[in-house]
Amino acid sequence: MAFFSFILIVITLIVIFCNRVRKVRKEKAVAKAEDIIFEELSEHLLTYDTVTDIPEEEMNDTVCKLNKLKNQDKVFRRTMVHLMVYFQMNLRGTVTNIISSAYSRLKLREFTRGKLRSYFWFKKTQGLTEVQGMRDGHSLPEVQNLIDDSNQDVRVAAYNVLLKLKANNCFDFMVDEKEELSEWHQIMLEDGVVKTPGLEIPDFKIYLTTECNSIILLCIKLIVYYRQYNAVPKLLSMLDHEQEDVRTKIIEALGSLNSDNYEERLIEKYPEETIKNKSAILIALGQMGSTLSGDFIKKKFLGAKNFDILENAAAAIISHPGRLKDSLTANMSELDEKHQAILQHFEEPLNAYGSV
Amino acid sequence: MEAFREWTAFIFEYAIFYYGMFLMFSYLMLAIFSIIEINKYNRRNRYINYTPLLNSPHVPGISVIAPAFNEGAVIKNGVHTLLSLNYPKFEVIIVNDGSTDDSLQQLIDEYDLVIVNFFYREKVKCQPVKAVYKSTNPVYSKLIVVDKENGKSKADASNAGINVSSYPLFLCTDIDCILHKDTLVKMVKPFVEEKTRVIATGAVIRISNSCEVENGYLQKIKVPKQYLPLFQELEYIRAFLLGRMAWSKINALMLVSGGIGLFDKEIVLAAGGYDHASFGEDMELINRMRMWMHDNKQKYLVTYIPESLCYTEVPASLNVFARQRTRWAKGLAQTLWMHKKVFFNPKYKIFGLLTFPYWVFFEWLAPLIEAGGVIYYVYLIITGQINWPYAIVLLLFIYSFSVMITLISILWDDFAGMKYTRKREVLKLCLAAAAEPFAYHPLVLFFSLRGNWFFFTNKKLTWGVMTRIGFKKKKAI
Amino acid sequence: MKKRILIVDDESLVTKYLKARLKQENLAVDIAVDGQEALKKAKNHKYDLILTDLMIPNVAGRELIMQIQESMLNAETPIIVLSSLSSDELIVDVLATGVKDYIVKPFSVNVIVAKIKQLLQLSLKAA
Repeated sequence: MAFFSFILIVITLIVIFCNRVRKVRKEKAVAKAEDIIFEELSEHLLTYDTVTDIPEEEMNDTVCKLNKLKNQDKVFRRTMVHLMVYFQMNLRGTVTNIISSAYSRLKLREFTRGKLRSYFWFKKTQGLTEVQGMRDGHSLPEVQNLIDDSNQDVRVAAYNVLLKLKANNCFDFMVDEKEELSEWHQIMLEDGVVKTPGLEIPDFKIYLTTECNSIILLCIKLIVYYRQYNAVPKLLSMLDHEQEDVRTKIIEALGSLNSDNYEERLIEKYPEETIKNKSAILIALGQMGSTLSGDFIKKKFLGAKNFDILENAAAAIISHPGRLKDSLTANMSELDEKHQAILQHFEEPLNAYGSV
Repeated sequence: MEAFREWTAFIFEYAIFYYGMFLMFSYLMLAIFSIIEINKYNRRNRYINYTPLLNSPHVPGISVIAPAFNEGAVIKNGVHTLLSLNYPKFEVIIVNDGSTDDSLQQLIDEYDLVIVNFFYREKVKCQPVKAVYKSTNPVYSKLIVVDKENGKSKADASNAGINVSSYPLFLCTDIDCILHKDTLVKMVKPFVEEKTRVIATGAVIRISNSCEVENGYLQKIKVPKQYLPLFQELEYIRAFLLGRMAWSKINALMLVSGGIGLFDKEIVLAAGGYDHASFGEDMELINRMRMWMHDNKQKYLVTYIPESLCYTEVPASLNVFARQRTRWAKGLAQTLWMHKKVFFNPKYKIFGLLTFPYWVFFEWLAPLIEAGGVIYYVYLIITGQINWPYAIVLLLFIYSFSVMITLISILWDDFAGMKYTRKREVLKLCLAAAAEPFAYHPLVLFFSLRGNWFFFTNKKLTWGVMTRIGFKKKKAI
Repeated sequence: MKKRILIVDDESLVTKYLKARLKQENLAVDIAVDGQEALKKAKNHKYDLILTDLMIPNVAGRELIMQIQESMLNAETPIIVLSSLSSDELIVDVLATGVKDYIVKPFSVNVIVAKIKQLLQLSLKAA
């Protein structure tokens, strides 16, 4: 047994040092490749404003040199793809057309497509990131194949690519996706929608009938972002949804949209709701400037037995655009110490970033 | 007498032998689980673009809580590093725990602080809060300073921070810790990525003792030069990368370090906050949070990420090291005793049936058994009963196994992300691994026993003061 | 004399490219990869323009802007922020600190160069 341990010690030491040497060599090789490719691109192609400005001869020469490098070593090939994706993702304007043109001429697309066909999920997501980064519409058919992948990370990455490339039916995932999405997936997809200029935005209320609650949550976020007021009646009808989180999001959305006719429904819902949603209702009502909402908030503030209700009612009072705050603060001495202190907390401008 | 000798021989030669075998087998399993988890993490996060998260209004807000007691040497720079973290929605809460030096005044002067009307609500008990300060400079609007009476423990100060916090998550750290700028973004990822509720996440803590630090910011990472910090670095690598990653894989983690831990505030409050009387408050809290989740039949995860996001100064002098390790050992015994109902309790599933018993038998009991083994061997030598070839082979095996496990941790550290750029630094760590069983382990053993002694005799222990070099530019030590 | 610009960004490829492009416009370019380095450089040189990211290591971006604006040599130096952070509130907050422009990544190099040239002309006129 001791002998076995000694053997393993020696093997581990060898692996540690070989691994370090290998990594350092690889880093140096990548850095060198990056420098060479960057120099070629920046001195011969990226000095021009548009693709048409580049003399054909110079373009051919540069592509030829890069092709040689690409075929010589897989480090060069990977670095080339990485650099081009990096520039595409960080730059805008005509320079990106130059990069796309070089990418096409160098046939780098084939390597990305190879990743999309890989068995491993992480290779597929890497490929999808490259397609997205290069805004490569030619790879759309391969991307479409991945929307049925068994791995959800791959599917979500594929949905994101379809959104970024403004593919037809890029919002079909809202109907087709049956597995609940994580918050992270929702953040990625929301980013894919709102950060794609020129994307045709549908009426998200049509997707609110899905059984997938996370898709509902995503739709609500997008409804608020795009101020789709025509979704308000549908949202109101969903206030009886069985999931508390969904109801919370709907209440918050109604407050943000601040359209007419929701306050009575919220006031009606109030007694049936959990403390968390009661608090959300108070905040939502605080965004309205009506007397009805003001009176309701004031009543809850003065009669609150639960601290969360008291806190949120106070926050709602301070944010209420009507004269609610003035009517309460004018008669501050009539309030008890606790009510006075909490109102003063929310009135304090330096506390603006947080609640109690 | 003969029967006693026979029983002693049986215990040390058979029962303890199999105990040792099982312990070593468990280390091998931890090594395997940890590399699987490290690989999984690397694959998931190699091509991650954090920009959508940084731009999203829907990310959970984080309160960064850092207690401070007489931290005048580091407090200004410490706060600067915390304010420079990359995250769209966070606040920094510094809890001045009754400092007798000029810590508070330094903050007031540096950050233009004024006392504000703040409705302080005591959700968890702690010593009274005297005032809450905020900055009049909008650049420092994320900063809150809480001035309170000394609570004689970090737990008490952390509770005050929790009481003041606004956001649903909080990061517990120390004011002298240097956090990576992407700490919040990386640590929040398990919370937003997992579909099961994550209640706590930890990350790897490394040692800053010989690193080049300028104005509180890490300029260059270096292997510790001093003897004690060097061995502690090995210990930290082993504990974090081998131990905690492996336990995280099977959702059986029992400790998220107080130096860097991100917690779900709702669950922390439900569980009662930090226990100010505990000497191992970080472990004790996780135990209580787990118990609460099981008692309330809620699914949850406690996760770990294999990224070195926090650099901290560890004791370089024997006195301070002794105090720290005695406190840790006492804290461990105290926590296990406090929550003994979890022991082999099927209600707590893997936590009760595997993790807790493991910590009882192989973390708490190990130093006691080891000490007993040493005494027994000394007895055998004195009485001439020792079987020298067997004893030597056994010692060689134990020694080589422990060196092997440490080297594997160093290798896993490389896989998780090469922190030391120079080969000679890694060589130094490997040589230290060879020396550790003789030069360092006896100290750890001694202070573990001392901590247990303090626990069993109910001897008083104070937190003591960590002597710091501080964040001013350091010459090579 | 050549105009001198400081770029503060830890993304090496973007800054390298920007530097190459700005050199074509006959501008001298210094690069700082973190806040501490940027402050050191700002303390020792007078720059005609500073281009900075917000998510830089070692000093919070907004604090860097504040410290540059309080420095002796570069208090009047025009600052452009170049960042991938795109929330409206943040942009409004940062513009309120007195920076001349806030450009969201991904950015057009031609637009940045044009804005830099315009600001340098303006400061030349002011002088």
